Amino acid sequence: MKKSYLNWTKSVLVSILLTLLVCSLFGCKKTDDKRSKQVIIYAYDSFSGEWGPGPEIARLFKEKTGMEVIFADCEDGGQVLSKAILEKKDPYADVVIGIDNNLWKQAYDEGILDSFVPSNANEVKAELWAKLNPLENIVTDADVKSSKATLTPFDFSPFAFIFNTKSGIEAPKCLEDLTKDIYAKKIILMDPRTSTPGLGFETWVKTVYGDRADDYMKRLEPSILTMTPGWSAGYGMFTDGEAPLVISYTTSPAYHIEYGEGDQFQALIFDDGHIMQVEGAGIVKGAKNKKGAQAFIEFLISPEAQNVIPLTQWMFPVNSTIALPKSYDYAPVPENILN
Amino acid sequence: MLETYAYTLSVAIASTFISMILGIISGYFTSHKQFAGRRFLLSLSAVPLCVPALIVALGYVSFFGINGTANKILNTSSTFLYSTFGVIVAQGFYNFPFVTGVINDAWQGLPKETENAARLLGANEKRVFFTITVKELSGAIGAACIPVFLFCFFSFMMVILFSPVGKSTLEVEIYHSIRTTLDVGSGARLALIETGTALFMVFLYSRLIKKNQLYNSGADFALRKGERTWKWQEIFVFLIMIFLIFIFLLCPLCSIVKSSFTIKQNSEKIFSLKNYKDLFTSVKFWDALKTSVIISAVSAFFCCVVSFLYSSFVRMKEKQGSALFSSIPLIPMAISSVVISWTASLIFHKSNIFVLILLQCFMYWPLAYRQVQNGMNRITNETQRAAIILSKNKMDVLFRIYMPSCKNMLFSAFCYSFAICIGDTTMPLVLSIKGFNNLALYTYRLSSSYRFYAASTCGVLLTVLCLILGGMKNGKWLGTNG
Repeated sequence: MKKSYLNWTKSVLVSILLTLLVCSLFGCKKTDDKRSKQVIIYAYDSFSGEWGPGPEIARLFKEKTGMEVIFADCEDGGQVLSKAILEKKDPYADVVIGIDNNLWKQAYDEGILDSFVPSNANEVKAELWAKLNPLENIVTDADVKSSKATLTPFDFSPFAFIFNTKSGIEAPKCLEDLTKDIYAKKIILMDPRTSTPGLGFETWVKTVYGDRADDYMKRLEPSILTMTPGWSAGYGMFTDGEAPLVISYTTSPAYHIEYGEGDQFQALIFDDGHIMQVEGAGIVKGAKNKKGAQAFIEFLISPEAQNVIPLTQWMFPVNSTIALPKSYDYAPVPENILN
Repeated sequence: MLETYAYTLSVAIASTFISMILGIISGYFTSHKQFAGRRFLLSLSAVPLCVPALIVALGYVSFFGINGTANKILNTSSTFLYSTFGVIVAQGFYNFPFVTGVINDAWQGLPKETENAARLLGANEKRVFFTITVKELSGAIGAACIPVFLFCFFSFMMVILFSPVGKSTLEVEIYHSIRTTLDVGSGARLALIETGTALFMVFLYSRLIKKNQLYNSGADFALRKGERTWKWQEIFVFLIMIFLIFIFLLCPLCSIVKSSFTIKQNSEKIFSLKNYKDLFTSVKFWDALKTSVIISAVSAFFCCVVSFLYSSFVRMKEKQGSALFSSIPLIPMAISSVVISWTASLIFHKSNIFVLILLQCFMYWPLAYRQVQNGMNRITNETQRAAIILSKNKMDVLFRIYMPSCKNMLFSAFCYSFAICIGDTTMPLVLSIKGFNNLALYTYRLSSSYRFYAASTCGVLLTVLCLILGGMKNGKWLGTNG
């Protein structure tokens, strides 16, 4: 009796471990029919999280098409790209979201995206298409339609320093001002190796200063309080009053206005001009549900989906027909865009 | 690259040194004395492993930052936090509770006979401490410090946040190679250097815990009970220790609590319960909590199963002294979560919750093993040999001797592993499991969406959960003698 109990226990333990291993390796198989009704999307988690645009866009898309959107959350656009590259031979996702104008070249070189221009492409300005697909020589709306674009822009925002107007110091007017003594230990940046805004600032400096960019960064060093690994840590420290300046987007103040936190934080427009981040979505080459992916991309730039972007993504929608909320009066758009 | 390696190593060593000194001192008091807050101090040992690093970092900023509480009280604008010294102090104080827990367990289990014999022969307390106690505790000290070294060596958030501009760590360079530039070759070389260093420390650890087991194995004697009598020198040192712990650990953690009760209205921070109200009325929060509890419970269960089976195998074969068998459970500790997650994403392209459970089990079973091993070590070789001789088969020994001896430790191991798994953010993020949401990810997403105070609220809930679970010892919640 005892021997059979012990044998039984041993068998159960072994079975559980084997089941776990098998499930890990093979996951769960889906039937073709179910798969054709699903669109699997790699997106960074602030897009697909509870407060991002993802859930609402997915709901509206399902209402319209009957297709279910399933998000697989990645940490950031960089991870979205690296996952898509790793799975090149047997892609899991249909759509990737979050590849921006700093990452487009890697996506292009790896050949992981299919070209696709949605039928409503002209609802988005040609210049935004051009920023994500620089090799297609897009200038006019007609160029967009005839291009082999692989990335469809869905939101954008210029990078800018957000300034705490209650800090008691004078607001800087250009990048060079930031090197002044009055801004010693007053700036929070993000590490360009680990953060998109950090990379955006690096690009901004290189665009303005060219060969003298390294010299500028050396002169800026005394002004930098810290370079955080990601935007969350940096902006969190800024809102805590740790430093009066942080690199972010011109749209950031809109959040604080919308949620009644006041107009203390303002986006500064610099005389040098600004760099813009344009985010895109693309269809993965070899996607299992290409039709669903195409329908999703088309929907993403439609007014219905684009209406969700301002108050969830806190970026500008690309669709020029969208009316922005009142809080976006505090989100300036610089006249001089450098990239 | 050499500079980065040297910086990573030096910060880790210095932080570990602070943790060691404070851990030994606090371990002395928790193992020898009875005082109010003793159990709370021991329960902090799980906190370094459970609370998301971002939340902890913001807590230190909130208290020690330029605009932090400390500078406001002292009316200064010190930037000490944003320096290598600040990193070392933050990491050292944040990780010392882990050392305290290990030292406490070991010191309580040391036989008094050797010390008493030395005193009888005329040795004073100082001589007894340095010639007998330190020697007997050396294994435990090493066993506690090397995991802390590894935590600091792999540290990402605090080092980058508080280090001077331009400083980097190996972990950041690996992250940059494999995630940003996609230079897999370079990333692999860096991972090799990092893991090689960590493996060397793990090897050292295996030698030291072997030493610890020699002093603690077959401990049939009673554990030390805390005394209520204090010498004035002990009171003096104790008060300094409590002051430092209060300033450098508890105050930053309390800052997180304070943030959880804060909202911003018209540019002013005000006290409010809104964050808690929003959290508890959010369906997604309860979904995340449910997922966290289920997945963490399953992962913790398998951590305990694996650690018990391995521990039983080692015990049965009487291989406790073997360097090889001592090293095997330590290998996962030598691999950073960035490297393991990246490797996992190469192997398992389509991740699911089973992959997550498998990875968490692989990474965290050594920590459960350490707890189970304490139970196994109480079984003397004579008891075991008698059991093997008198039992019908070896499985009998497993279920009739080992399991009853370890059942309290297994429960503690389960709670400890559960606490660690529930706070794990890195692996779920890197694995990108479709539709997955747990409490740690939920906290991370809050902070990515401008909701920093709400993220603190989640962080507080995670901390409380970890304090309760991590404080389970010997099947009791922070019971005496453990």
